[in-house]
Amino acid sequence: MSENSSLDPAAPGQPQPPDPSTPAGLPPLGGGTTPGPAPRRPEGPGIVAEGVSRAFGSVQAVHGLDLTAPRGAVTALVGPNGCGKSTLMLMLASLLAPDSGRVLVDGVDPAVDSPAVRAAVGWMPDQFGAWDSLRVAEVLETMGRAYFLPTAQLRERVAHLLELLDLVPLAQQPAHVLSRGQKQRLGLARALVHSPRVLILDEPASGLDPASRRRLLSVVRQVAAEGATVLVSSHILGELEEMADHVVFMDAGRVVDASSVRELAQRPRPWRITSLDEGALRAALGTLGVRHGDVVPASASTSGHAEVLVHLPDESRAARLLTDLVAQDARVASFAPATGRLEAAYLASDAARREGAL
Amino acid sequence: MNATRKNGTLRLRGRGLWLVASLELKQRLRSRAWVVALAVWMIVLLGIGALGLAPVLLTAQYDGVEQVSSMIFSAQIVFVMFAMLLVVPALSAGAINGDRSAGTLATLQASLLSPAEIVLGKLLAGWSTGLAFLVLALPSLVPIAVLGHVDPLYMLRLLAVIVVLTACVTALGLGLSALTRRTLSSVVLAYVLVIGVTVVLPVAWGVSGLVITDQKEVTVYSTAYPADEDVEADSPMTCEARRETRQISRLDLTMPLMWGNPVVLLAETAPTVTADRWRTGEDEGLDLLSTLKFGMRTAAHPLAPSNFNECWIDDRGYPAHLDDGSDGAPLWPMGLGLWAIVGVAAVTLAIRRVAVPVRHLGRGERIA
Repeated sequence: MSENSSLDPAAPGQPQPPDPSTPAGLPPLGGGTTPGPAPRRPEGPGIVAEGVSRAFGSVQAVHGLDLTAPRGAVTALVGPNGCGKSTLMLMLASLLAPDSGRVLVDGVDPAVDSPAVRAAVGWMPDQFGAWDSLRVAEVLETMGRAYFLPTAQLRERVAHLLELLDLVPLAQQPAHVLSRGQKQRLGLARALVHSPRVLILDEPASGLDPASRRRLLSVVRQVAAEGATVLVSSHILGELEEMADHVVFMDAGRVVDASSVRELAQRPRPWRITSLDEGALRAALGTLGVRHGDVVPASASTSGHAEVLVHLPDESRAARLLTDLVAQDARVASFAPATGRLEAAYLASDAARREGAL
Repeated sequence: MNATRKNGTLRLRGRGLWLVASLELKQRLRSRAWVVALAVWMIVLLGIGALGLAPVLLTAQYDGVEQVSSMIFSAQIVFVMFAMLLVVPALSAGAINGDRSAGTLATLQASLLSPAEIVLGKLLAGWSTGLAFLVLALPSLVPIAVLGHVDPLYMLRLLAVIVVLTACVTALGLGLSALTRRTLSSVVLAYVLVIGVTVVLPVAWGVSGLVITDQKEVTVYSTAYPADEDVEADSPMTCEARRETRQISRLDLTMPLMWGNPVVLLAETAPTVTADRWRTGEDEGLDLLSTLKFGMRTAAHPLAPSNFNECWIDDRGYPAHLDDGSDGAPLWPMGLGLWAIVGVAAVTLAIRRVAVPVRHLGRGERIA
């Protein structure tokens, strides 16, 4: 496991930034035009952290952390509570200075040119603070003005974001009547209002209903597809797996593991096999010499079939085992990973073994 | 790295300033409590004016209207000043730590708004809200001032002092709000400071007059009463001077305690009154503030009182044009200067505390 989570932006199969000169019909959500200095053509990773440390009193929140997040991709930040994710995000949003080390956001060190970093970053904090008496549309207009967007562009942008995040019916409602999930959607719209080149989302899926989560996934993927760097933290690993191209595992203020989500397929994880015939399953596993857990009889399983968990090193082995089980007439009803790739990788880490890990 | 740091902390753009100010004002205007408070305020002041004038008008003593109106006007101005001192800290002392707790400050800090725009925008909003109370007091103040033949320039001076003090107290509240983590702490601190300046320091100043004294040779003018057999009908009494040593309170030494007192600053705008005018009974135009000004100027006189005039104005040999200290050095430059320093220091502190990226966080303090 590498402490440096450097991720190759040019890895095969990864989404590549589009040509900024070819708008895709809708106004860009991220990576597009940003008020202020003339937009620069993206070069290098969107986020770089080198040996970053930050302490709060005696608590070392981030400790010698190295991280790189490429442009045009979503990087997931996973780790237990208090591992330093939010602190890292505050430093990337130019709100908090590191004690040592440095961060580069969109190629700029916030300690050197904070306004340039703030112009490039869209930040959604984990605890959403809205001006309660303002209407939803007013919140977005206020944020657009805080980025000094021209009025015409601001109106167009607000209308687009309201529609994109299904906030049109709530546009004239005061923010204090919104549910947590609705506030999260407003928070995401707020972070996107100035078409940031770097999007930092701290627990964006928290409180969202399933439909809103699908929408979040779609929006985040679109932002990355437009060339922005997206860094997202979440405790909902299943969704991160769908959303992210890369994953960085943090523990105790450090990066303890990093990988592309695609590469996680090559890591061991448990697979659940269900069978219509307990005896046939036992016999097939015995014949094939597969090491497995206890076979749960149909009467005791939630699926109503006999079940067994098998730890397999990668997906190609899993495919081979399935073929063999079918050949042995194990009467397989289902054969699927018991956990997602991300969850399996996380559960294999030391951090997951501590109480309250996620 | 030798790169020039560009944190844009002091950048000030009209759009940014107005955005923050309008954001604050919009939130206040949508609170029904504020509308009710402003309405009650206006009704109370109109009521005070009416109640003050009622006895004079009901008893048809129209000759006394001017003097009564003049007194009511000065009392109302003091009342308005005290009300502002109560309202303004409550407005501004939660402006930064309150937003920090609500998570809205970090949202602004992460935007392109500069710390100076955030702080000065909040200052502008708090100041404007405070001034709304002053504007709503005008429907009561102006008619009373007209009835009392109050000099318009005097009234403008009074309003100017209130406007400046409101800005400074708002700035003080903002500074405390940036300094403390909890809104309650900053509001309480702001009130402690305001009450300290307005009430506690005057008490301390008064006590200092009992403690800090000098034995001093002074000239005492007193009426010499002739023996009964020498008295002729309608003959004036004689005013005689004598030198004697008296214990003098050195209130002038502790006068800095009173420099920042808002009521003293209001009084400084009043027309100057001399001791002779008191004795001649020319009370036209005299009000609470001019009386206070006379007292303060006399006490501030470095050597006062060197002369004690205990004669009547009709006495023969009455010492006219005696230096009574009433035309002594004005207090308002020091007072307003002090408040200006406090205001600028508080705003500077607030801007520093709102600047990002944050290097030092207080114990238990969060950014978002």
